[in-house]
Amino acid sequence: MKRKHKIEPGKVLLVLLLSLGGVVMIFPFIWMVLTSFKTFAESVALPIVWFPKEWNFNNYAQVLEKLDFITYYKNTIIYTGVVLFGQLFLCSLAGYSFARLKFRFKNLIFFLILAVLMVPPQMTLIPRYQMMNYLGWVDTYKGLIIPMIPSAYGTFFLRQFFMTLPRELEDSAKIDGCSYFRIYWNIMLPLCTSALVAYGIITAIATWNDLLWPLIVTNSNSMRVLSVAMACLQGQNGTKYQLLMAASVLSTIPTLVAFIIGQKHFIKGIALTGIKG
Amino acid sequence: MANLTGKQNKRCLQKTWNCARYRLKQLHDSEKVNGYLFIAPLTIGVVVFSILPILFAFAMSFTDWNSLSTPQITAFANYSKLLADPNLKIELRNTFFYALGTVPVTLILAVLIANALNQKIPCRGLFRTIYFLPVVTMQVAVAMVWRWLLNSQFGIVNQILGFFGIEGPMWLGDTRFIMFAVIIVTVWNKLGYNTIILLAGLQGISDSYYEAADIEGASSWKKFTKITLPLLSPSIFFVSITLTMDALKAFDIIYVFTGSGADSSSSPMLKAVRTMVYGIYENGFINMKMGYACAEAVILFAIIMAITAFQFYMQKKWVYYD
Amino acid sequence: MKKVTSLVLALALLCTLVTGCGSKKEEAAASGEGAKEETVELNLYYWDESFNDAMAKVVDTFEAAHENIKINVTTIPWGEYWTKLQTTLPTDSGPDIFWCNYMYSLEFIPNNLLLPIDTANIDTDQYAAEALDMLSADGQLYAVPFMLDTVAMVYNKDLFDAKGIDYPTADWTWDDLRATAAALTDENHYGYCLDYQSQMGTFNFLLQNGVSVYEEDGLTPNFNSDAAVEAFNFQYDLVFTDKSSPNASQLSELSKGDRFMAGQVAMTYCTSPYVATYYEALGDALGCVELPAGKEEACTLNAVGFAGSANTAHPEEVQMFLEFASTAECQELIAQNGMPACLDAAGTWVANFPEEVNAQAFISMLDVAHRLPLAHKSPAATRSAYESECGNIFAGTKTVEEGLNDAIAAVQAELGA
Repeated sequence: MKRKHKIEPGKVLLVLLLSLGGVVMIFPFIWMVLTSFKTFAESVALPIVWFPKEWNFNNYAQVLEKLDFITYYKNTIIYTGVVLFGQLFLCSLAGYSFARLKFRFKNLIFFLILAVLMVPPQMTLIPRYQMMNYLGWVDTYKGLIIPMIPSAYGTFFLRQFFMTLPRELEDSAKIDGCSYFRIYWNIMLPLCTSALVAYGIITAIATWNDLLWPLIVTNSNSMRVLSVAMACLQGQNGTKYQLLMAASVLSTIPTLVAFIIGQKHFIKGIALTGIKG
Repeated sequence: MANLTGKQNKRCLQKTWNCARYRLKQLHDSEKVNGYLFIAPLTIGVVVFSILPILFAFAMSFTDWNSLSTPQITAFANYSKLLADPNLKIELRNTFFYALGTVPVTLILAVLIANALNQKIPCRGLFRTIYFLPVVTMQVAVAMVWRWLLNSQFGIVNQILGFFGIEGPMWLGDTRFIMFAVIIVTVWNKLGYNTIILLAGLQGISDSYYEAADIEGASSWKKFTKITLPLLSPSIFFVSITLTMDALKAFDIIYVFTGSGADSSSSPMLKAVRTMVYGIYENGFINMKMGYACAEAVILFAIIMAITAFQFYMQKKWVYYD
Repeated sequence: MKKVTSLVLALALLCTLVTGCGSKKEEAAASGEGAKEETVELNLYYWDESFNDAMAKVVDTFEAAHENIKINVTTIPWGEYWTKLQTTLPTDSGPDIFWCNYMYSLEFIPNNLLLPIDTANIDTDQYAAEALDMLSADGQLYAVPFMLDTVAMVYNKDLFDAKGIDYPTADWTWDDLRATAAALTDENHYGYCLDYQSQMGTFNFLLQNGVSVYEEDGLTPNFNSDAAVEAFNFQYDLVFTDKSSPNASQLSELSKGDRFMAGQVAMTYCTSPYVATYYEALGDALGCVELPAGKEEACTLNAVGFAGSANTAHPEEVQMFLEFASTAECQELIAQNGMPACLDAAGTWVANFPEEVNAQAFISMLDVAHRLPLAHKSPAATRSAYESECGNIFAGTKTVEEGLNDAIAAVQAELGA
């Protein structure tokens, strides 16, 4: 039987509303891109100049010349990559344990970890730096990356997700004599692909744009990351907006590409279909 | 051992070795041991890099530390000064108002949008990317654009309101309205992020539920309220906890909208939007009164702890785990 | 098998981190301790990336003369500069040399964070006495001044031409300012833009009306005298009576700088570093002139200097650099971007702009500049307290007397605490 292609009015309304909202969402991004082609005078003019008179690619040339992008890209990629995979592994392992395994003081320890999220980051800045200084990790990859790997947020997120997964698979695996690590690695992880991808994207972007910690813990140009380099474009006596936006666009492209590729992987967990019913 | 024969020796050793292997296997299979082992690297990391610094900060709240030289212990002086400080009351009021304004709105919108982005609609990938753009847009660009959008003379927001005959206020120049401006921008900022999280949660809901509901002829609304929401509740719970914590720790957008840096401290708009973390930052990093700032952080911590504990307690009533 | 692979991966990860591709600093720190022949590495922090070329030349010139010293220059964004210093200076991994301004020297010197400088080899006569004094305490110099900020008036020539009004001159008084501002104001423009903060705004009016803001001891505020109220009333009238200037609430929505650069405002006060920014926005329409005088001519003076960290591992080398920083050679290099502390090099800075812009006005103001009137204790906190009351006054929520009295009370609370 051929299925007639229905145009549901509900769907049309949905798309309409989403489009309206989408315009609001996309606005600043468009402005950011447009401003990256303006002259300084155009970027500060009133009433607002939306489209630049000429498309000044020399803003990009200036930014690429001023900022050592290759070094900064390298550092940012290393920083983001290692923190990302470190967090995914550590937090999923701990999250699985908090969600499924029974041991004494489990809830107490979990709440202790959660308590970390209740303190504003400004408070831990100085003590953390002093710790890095003591360990000799200032201005090194170690100092930049390692404190950022143990994440209370990630553990909380993945624990919640693990708690939603059906127990049947685990139970049957246990009966088959699987070790707990095997259960975690071979069964639980593949089931939460979408959660891992989602968390991965969010963490990657947060780390990519992270300013305060890299700024405090690194000094030399060889260790600088993109966000710090861009912040330097904001001066004491005014900011060259057109250069800042150009640098932002250059910095944003990798994250956007990563997302576009990643969002395809929000697929439903494959194993779920085989359990119920 | 020397008195045993060779064979007996071998058997004895084998027994010990088997004993050890058996014990090891017991450990290996023990739920308890695995439980601790799995959380170990993370917990050690969190303790070393987060909890120790926090304890340090808490300890400093009992001193007059200015972060530049050695602190002198002042016991509860910071706390008594803090409780008499008029700024604290203003900050508490603003922080709660901000949280009440941003958390429910963001949560509800995020749930609705995530659900919408999970339907089979055309250009779904494009929509997802668009709603995600605020997350990748630089905060500087965000602040600048919203400043323009909310400008009472040139901004589009007031022009749109004008179409409906409403005279738009001076969003960023009126102490009665700047909080709303800050809330609007915050919701805008946080939507994409939390939509992704809820979208991931939606992937965990098996299609078979919806298929069964379709067979029974359930309406979209019924499907949403009876299937989607309950099965999504763990993710919703997560989002509500983290949104609340973030709201109570609000700083960045307030800092930027009042001028940032030294300009913020003098802005006449500040008293309408200053939050507790702003107060902590101002005291600690602008006025160099770090001990005092730590004391305020302790109070904030206690507040967040209480609210979070309450939320965890309430989860029994509405969060549905498998 | 999979378990093994994953364990191997994890171990590999751990190994890369632990051995780590650290920076050369660790090795340098190890080598810098013992041998005097080996290269000494110094870290220098500064906050203005428009000085990148100037600073690179300064460092190159110095390194050429001192072969065993290498200086690593780092730009820190202005917004986070003082946070970074606050965090790193008390430790031994902070900068060896860094830019420090007057206000923060007041914070850092009492906490023993700055290296005392031996002035035997420094020509102190080339500086205005005030500049050196500002960066000293008890007769001991702690930072070598290299840049000064004065305040002058900038104006938009196009807006004057449009109304056929003559440009401001160096002998203007407050009355001239008020009259011209009113004449320039219309539906879409303001004749003047108030700066309700201190350095570029209210302090200047106070100083010009004979108010010293703090007594000699730096601990007693006196800015609620009749003369002070008069000075504030003048500005208040500009904003609320004549409506020739936006008020503080409107400035919260759109800042002074944004308005001036967009050509909405005809005249405003600013410090010397802003000239470069405004010139880029307005081009040849920018004009500078000395401040209109009150009872006297006056403006605020700020000094920025190279300071050495008291926690540095290489005090002799830092001293060598600071001596170099005081030479005319170095001052000339700096003058290409900012108004130098050494008056002989001032011409180089002025030459950055066309003569019609008249950046020379800022140099002339040096003759009548008073050091920034900050409290000697808790300068940052007292300044914030004062400025936030100024904000209230010029938003219209407090009268001038109320605001000034509350400011005095707040400042005294900070100083007493």
